[in-house]
Amino acid sequence: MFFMMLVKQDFLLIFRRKSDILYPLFFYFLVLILFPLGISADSQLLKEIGAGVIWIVSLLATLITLNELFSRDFHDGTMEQFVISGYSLEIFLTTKILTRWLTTALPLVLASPFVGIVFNMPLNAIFVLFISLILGTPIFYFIGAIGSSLTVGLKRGGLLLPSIVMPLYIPTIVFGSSAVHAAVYDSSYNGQLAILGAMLILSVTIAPFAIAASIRTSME
Amino acid sequence: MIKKLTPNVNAQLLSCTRGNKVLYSNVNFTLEPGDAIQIQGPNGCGKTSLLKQFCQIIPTYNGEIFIDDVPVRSVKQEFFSLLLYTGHSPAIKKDLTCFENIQYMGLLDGIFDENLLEENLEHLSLSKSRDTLGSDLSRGQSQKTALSRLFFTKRPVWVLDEPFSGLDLSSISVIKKILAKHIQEKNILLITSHENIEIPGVAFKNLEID
Amino acid sequence: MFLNTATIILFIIGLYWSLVIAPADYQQGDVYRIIFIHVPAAWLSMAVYVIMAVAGTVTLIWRAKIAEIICVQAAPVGLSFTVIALVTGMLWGKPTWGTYWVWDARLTSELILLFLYIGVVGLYKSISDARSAARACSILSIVGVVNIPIIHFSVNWWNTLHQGATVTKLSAPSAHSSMLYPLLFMGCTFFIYFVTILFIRSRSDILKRERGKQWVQEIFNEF
Repeated sequence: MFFMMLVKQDFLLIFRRKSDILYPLFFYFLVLILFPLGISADSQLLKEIGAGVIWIVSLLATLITLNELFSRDFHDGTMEQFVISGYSLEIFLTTKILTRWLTTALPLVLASPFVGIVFNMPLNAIFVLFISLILGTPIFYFIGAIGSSLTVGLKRGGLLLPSIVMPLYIPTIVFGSSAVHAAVYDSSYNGQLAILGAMLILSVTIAPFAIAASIRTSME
Repeated sequence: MIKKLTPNVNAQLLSCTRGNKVLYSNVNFTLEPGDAIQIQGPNGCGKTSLLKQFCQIIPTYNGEIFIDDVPVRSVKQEFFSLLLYTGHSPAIKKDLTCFENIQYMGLLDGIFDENLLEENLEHLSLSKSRDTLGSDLSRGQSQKTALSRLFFTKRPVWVLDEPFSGLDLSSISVIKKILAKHIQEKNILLITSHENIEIPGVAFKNLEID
Repeated sequence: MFLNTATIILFIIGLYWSLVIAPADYQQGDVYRIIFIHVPAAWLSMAVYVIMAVAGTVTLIWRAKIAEIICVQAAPVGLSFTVIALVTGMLWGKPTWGTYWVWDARLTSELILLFLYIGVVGLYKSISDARSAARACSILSIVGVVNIPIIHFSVNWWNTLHQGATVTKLSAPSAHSSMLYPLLFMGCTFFIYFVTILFIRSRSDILKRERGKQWVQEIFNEF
């Protein structure tokens, strides 16, 4: 009951600020359009770089929402209330991250097949793109939340967040985009997807503890 | 394990440093069921930091807090479940209405019954602002929304940072009555203030910080 | 004091040995001697991160002030080792392979390590309270050290996709003993240097933190 109410409150909060949901989506599409316009619309080129480009733009779109992940709760005092509520901070934060992922990243993932078509990907590659993004974007959120929780109390935390979080994103990007790239050229991609899945499980189980510890430290 | 419902709290040799300044050091106090302490001192002397240290939001690097003679570090989550803290600025979500905020606080106290929560709006005359968004509430109304938690919570240890700031006279007397009731039921109260607060039925021990 | 003199002496011996005595490499001539700085710096940059993470774990579990200080003061030193490794790597690369930078696994991993260090040092500098800053950096360094094997594995794997045949050209030369020993010696020297610098930095950090206390005032009054 408690858990359901918590999730309901989280969704309520996110939907009260629709711009939080729409902004990353617009960013995603706008930046993706820039690539063929800025480089070249040659279909062979797009096929070659498509996997990497879509993955990178998905990363950037999630990165811009990370700043806001805990910021409002932290600054209006409700995060403090939850830290000393006697309930598990890890579960609270995980719920928050998951609801944020559902509302902000899932639209991007659902839009990715259309983007795949624009980048001339064959059908099986689009399928792999979808799966890899479903596995990879939550990893971005969980690892990114570690950086977000460390910098939430800082005045210019927004500058520090990407530099903390970028090195940690590299394995996800490497395996994610190479899975799609392999699918485009009909090579095997199952290994990459399996590793991605393993990283997802690892980050969902371990990251919450680091995130909760960082929130408590940021409150001092 | 915390044995009783309302614990004995014993704070010893608490100190706090912010940057290069030592705010306070060697602060000791004890709270038994039915005790109330009022912390007084000028602005910036560390009253809020002391409350936050008590609530373990800021860690106690020197000194120790004992809950029923057990160091608080080993029973932290249990201590938290007995604790109610209201901070200097009301912890209100600007994107939720007044009533939704109260529902959120009810969530923290394990109360999901909407009717029960609705009844509490009347105590501090918040019925008219029931559906006003947090961002549109005045400071006094936000403070009243945050304090309406006092009327339905079952937690015994209340730590309130300047609870009367921004309130009108009738709300102040309502709050004073609920604080008196809290003490009569043998619970614990720790508040801060600028000036001496008198509540009928409550014998305050005063703690001055300079 | 002892450490200072030991460091200086070891450095003199090590540099003389590596620069003068070790024979010129048959393939690269005298240019290769820069590896006597490059390789130990790279070893240390990784070792220091691990030390930092261990100190960080001790800080979080046991709240020991000394562990906090070690964790926080080791970070800038590790950062400078990483920069030295990268710069010497680039200086080595130009005359030997014609290019300053190449996206091979080791250099890319080192570059990522640089960003991990920048994150820790940047975090420390942004938090005003020293103890909270130390705790935050401890968390970050532990997260980093857990991720380093994963990052290393993924970069190696990525490299095999894109490099292929040129790997052998860039791998470390198999070391003859007359080159191996000075290399190991320089490695130890760098480590002693790290310990010395860590002690110096920690000492000044302790003095800064405890400056309100009486024993510190007495030390300053003696001057």
